[in-house]
Amino acid sequence: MMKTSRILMAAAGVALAGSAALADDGKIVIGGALSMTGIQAPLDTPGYYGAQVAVKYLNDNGGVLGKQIEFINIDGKSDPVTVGNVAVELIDKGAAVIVAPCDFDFGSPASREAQAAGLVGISTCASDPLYSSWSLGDKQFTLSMWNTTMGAAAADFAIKEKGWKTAYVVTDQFIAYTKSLSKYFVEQFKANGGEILLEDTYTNGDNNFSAQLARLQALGTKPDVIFVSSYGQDIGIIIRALREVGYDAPVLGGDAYDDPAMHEALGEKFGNDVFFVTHTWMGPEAHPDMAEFIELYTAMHGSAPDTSFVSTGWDTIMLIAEGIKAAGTTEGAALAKALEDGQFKLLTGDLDYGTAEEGHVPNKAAAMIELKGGTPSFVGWRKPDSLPKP
Amino acid sequence: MKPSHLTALVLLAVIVIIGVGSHLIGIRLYDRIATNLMISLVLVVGLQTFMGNSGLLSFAHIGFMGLGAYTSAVLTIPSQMKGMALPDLYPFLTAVEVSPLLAMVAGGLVAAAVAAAIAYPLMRLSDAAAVITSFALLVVLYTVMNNWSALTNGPRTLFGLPRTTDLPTAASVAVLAVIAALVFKESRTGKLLRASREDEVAAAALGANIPALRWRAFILAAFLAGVGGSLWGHFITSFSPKAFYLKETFLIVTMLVVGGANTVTGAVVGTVLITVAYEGLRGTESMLNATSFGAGQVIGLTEIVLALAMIAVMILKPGGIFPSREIGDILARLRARKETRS
Repeated sequence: MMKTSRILMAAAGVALAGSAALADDGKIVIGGALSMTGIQAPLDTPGYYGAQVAVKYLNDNGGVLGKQIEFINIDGKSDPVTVGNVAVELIDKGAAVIVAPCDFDFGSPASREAQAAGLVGISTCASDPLYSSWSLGDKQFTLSMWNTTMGAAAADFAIKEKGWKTAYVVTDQFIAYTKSLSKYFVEQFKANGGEILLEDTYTNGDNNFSAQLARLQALGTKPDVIFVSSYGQDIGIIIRALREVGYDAPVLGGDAYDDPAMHEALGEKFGNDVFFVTHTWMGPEAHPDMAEFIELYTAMHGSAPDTSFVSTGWDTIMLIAEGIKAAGTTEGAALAKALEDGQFKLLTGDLDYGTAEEGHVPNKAAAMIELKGGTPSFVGWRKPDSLPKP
Repeated sequence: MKPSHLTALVLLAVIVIIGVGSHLIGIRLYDRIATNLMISLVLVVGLQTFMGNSGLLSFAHIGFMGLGAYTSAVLTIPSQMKGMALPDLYPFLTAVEVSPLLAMVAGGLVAAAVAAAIAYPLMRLSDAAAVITSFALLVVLYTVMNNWSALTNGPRTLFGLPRTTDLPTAASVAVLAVIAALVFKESRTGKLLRASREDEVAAAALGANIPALRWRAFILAAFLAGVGGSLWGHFITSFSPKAFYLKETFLIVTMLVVGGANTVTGAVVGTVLITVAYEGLRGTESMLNATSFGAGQVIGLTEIVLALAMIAVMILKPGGIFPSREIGDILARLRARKETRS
């Protein structure tokens, strides 16, 4: 065993010594701490693939400020401590910007290290309002809309666009995301003058919706719209249960609905009148460059993207590139200012950040999708005028 | 020199060398890795005080780490930040803001108090029943942390802890933890408890009150876990209850089992070895990725090699690398053998 440990130690020494090399001036290094293994990997890996495509595209077109972009990603391993270590390692390697994992728990250690080094950090798709300059510092951003936007866009769509005045809300109690999404929907729905007939709870994995149905039927009135905040296959189970007993009011939800397996599970019979708010739509209606992105992606990775999350990686790199062009430098404060001031037309919606005092709130358009006969179709971009407080 | 003193000297030297060494190299990454190693050391040594001496596997340890982390968080998050970080906090706690060091002790005490209150009846159990109840205890602690929103912000991430855990602090606490574990092992309670580990019936026949002995060890372990949790909290500065669950549990248990649960030396060696192996493999992985860019990424090398190495250790050395004797005893024996030969 001692021999093995000595070999391991030697390997550690070599590897760490190698990592201390500094970047040269001819290129701009973007460091990524995205997790390729562990529970965060399914969310981070698509972003990583998308980012690679963007880097190649930029370099093929002359780079940024005349310099080539180098994107170094070191596996954050879905471990907050490792993500922090990786960020430190990248900064010491000369990274000018840090790309953080797609979640506050796993992403914030990277952003905090970036902030401490005076660099800009951007999470590819963390949607918790905690991912703000309030909690992380004045150079930290997230590319995703906050959950406040998701809830507000759904509520605005229901009342202002469709005229659905009464709602029935089901909230999955299992994770923070589903709870906060319902909270923001209810707040905005009430602010818009709507009425919540009943708020009920569900726990992921119950696979039984009869108790909730009994309470809903006891109301005597049918709601105009049903908001179901859950995730995974349970969404399908709830929608089926509702439809089978004759509740055919439109169902509304968040980005957890953006899951082809769920659409298939609902099928032609149940997959109707379902609307959801998500990050993007992988078609030319969403953005003129979408087709080109998919083409480049397919050329680079050999197959078309299997999830829309790949566009968050592309957008993150493009956003950074535009920011650097506007600022004329990669220096943290100037780049952060450029990101605050700029307006960006991204694959995942138009984006306009708030100031550091406003928490760098991503004022972003959300994609509204409708399910018809089990197949999704793009309704359009929706940008709420006002957001509930996080 | 007595062998037990020699053990203490060697183990403390290991900690000091790692601490000073990684500081002298001057690479920030090493500093962070060493700090994290020291925190793991506190946790693993804490687990050793119970598991090593009583022979019972405990899964609840990381739950107590969570209690320490949350206690410390509630006591140290600046009051102007508490409105955002802990919106439902009880009013009498919002103004509280103590020094992180004091909060660390408080974290340990809270964990110890909770352990004392709930563990007494559990200490009568042995073997598989004890392991399963400790696992159930972990689930209970996790569920409480996940749902006591007023104090923990529920499943959402808690943030805003001041970053106060640096290498010297963590190393000092690790030194104290190792000393505590060694003293406890040689204390009357420790010796009786180890007797019960070897033969429960014989120890009981000699008059050892086994549940009470185990209880004391469990409280000490929980105290150290709480202190370790607090240290970790002030190192990472934001966390949610899922940080104190299965993944961390298996990591800490693995470190102890690979090193050798019965000895403090094993706890220290296991922690150092797993940390160095993990970071070394991670470095190798990213080096391979940097050189073969475009030719595909090496993903998951660390996890696979580490898991295989653990299997190998367990096959070759089922009791861990230091299964029964502390390093001091081994060195003393070597010296004695040399003397008899000459």
